[in-house]
Amino acid sequence: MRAFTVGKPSRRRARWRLAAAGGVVLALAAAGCSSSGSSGGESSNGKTTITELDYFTSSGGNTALNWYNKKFEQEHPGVTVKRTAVAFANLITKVLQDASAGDMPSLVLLDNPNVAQVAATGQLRAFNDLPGFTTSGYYPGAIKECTYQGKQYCYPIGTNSVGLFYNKAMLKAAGLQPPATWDELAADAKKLTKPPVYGMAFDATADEQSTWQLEPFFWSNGASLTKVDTPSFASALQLWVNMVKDGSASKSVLNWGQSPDLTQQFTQGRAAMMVNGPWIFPDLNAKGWKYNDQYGIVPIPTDKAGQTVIAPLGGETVDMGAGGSTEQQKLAWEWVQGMQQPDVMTHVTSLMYYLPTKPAVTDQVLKGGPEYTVFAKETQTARPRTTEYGANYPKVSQAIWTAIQSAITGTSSVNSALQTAQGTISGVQQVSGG
Amino acid sequence: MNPAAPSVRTEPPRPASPAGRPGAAGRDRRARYRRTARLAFLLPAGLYVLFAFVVPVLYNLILSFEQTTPATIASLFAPWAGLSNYKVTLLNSITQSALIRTLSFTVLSLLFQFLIGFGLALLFSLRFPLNKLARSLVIVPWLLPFLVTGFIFRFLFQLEAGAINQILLDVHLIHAPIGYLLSPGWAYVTVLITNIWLGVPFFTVLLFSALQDVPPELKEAAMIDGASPWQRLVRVTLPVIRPVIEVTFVLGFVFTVKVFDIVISLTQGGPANSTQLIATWAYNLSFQQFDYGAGAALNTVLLIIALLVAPVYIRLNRDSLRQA
Repeated sequence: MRAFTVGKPSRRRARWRLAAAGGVVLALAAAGCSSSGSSGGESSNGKTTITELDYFTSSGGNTALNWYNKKFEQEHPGVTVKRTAVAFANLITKVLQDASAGDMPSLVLLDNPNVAQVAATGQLRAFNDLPGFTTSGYYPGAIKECTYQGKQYCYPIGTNSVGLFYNKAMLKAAGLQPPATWDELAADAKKLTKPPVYGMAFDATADEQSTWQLEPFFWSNGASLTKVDTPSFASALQLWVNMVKDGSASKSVLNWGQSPDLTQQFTQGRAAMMVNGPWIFPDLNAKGWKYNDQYGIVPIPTDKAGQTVIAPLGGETVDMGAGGSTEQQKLAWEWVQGMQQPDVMTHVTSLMYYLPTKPAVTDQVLKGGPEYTVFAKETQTARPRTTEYGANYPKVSQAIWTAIQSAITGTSSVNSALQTAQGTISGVQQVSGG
Repeated sequence: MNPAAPSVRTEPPRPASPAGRPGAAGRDRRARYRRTARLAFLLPAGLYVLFAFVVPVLYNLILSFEQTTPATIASLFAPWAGLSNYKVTLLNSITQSALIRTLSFTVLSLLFQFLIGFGLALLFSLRFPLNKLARSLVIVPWLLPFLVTGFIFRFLFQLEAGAINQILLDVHLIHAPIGYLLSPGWAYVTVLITNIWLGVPFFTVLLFSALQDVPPELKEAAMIDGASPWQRLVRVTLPVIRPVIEVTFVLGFVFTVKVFDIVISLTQGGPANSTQLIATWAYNLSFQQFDYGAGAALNTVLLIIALLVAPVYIRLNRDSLRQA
């Protein structure tokens, strides 16, 4: 064997080699830090790349965005849309990371309650001074949810909300009509409960979903997010608590998310009614459940008959990142505007099981899908969640879902749970959202 | 090649250095070269420690003294907040109950993990068929990612159609299904049980190997002196393996005090914050309420608690090394 010896003359070289190795390590470390810093710009052959970030990792949203990106690339030769999809829970963290690095994607699809928060970082591009910008033709709520400190930061990609789904066969067997008031809801839920079937199911998990599901109940009753220790708020929460207490709803509502938990309970015939939204249509279709055959949908019941249902406005929005070259910004804006065209909006929202954000387009869509009727009607009066608290909405939402859970577990009474929540909410700064 | 060839190569005759360099300078150079080489070899590890530990901890510390809002996220530094993050966070009633809960959770976890782990270690010290197979099965909880364990237990503890309720109902131990994850008291117990289940292998493996090291002569001598099995355990075995027990407890403390994944996958800290521990509440503050300053402050508190046992660990380690 040849012993590996470093000859004397090469010792100086060896030292250099070591220094070089150290340098490589340093360079690698530096590259590791900055690898996220390259956002893809114009390359040598005149091609332009714009980046798009969203959380539609699967199903309809995924199909819709791939379809639209391809269409956009075909209409803009030499342009590449580089799409990244991350899990729902990671999107906001990723966006805030990008924002803190000043390296936003050209386009980002944010859930609407997060728009104010990301706009507050100063890393979103306001639309107001862009050519051809308009807010006319949209639902008022859809425009409001995109407004932050008087400026428009997004267009909704589509909207959705919650309604009351009911099992037609079970209601028919019990000789019941779908409920329109709280009293009817409570009474029907009780009558429909026959173990192992619960009359009612909703989402009271420790996250935004439960606040979002309670909102139509207390908003329609005249309560607001700013003042929760009021009788009008308390009676909405009491309605939920009572249904769990008398066994019409399972205690498991504390752990049941909207999808797939609630949907599963419903399609397995273990819940006769539930609060849910149009995003579950693909799941129902997959089970062979058809609107008007197996299930029906009515608006969220109100305390008294005839009160207007004020539902929360859901859905994601299309936002533009600040930064990037003029060319990239121009293309990103064309991407945003292209999505507002009625035919594109119709196709994208139908793939995603969302409602279009323009009443005129919605009317067209309703002709083909009566299951959307309730949600379309609710959208006209729907309210964005960030109106009062803007970027601070998550704190208010947490105070409310904590109160929901305290009251349902019986840790505290409805009133004292709401007083605690009010204590938290009073300490949260109101930021002008929409 | 040829094994007979001399392995030491004769160096080529060194040309006389033009300046007639004395040998001392050469030795000097060699020493300097060695020092450089040593530093160069340290460099990767040093960089790793710097970026993986020092920078995050320092950044967290800085963050905990800053007034953070979404608007400050794009700049490296936010306005100075002094101790207000600490004050607000520590005065929060959920934080206080999370601190107390973490403490009781840690003490109870370690106690039961030790009792069960030590019992299993003693059991495996006996000769019985399939001993080796059983011993390797005990480690299985360790092989599963914590999140997976959490979701499996969540499934087992369900109110409707959960396996545990089903079994207890079938053997008539309970008459109505229990909502393990649905009431504050039960949820705490459920998370505790899951964590104990996860920690038992750690105790079993360490204590088992310690038991293997107890010299059999000692036990035999005690037996000849007429010591009962209990006396042999308490007077001979336990004192011999005490250093290992102590180190195991200290490490277990550090693992348990920062428990996060199990709670997140089982209860998300609910219902009604009844299973919030320090780590999950800090996460909630930072990434659900986006109050980075408050979350960072609570993380610093957690770090201090974990660091409190570091000196104990180092002392114990030194003692046990000295004994060995």
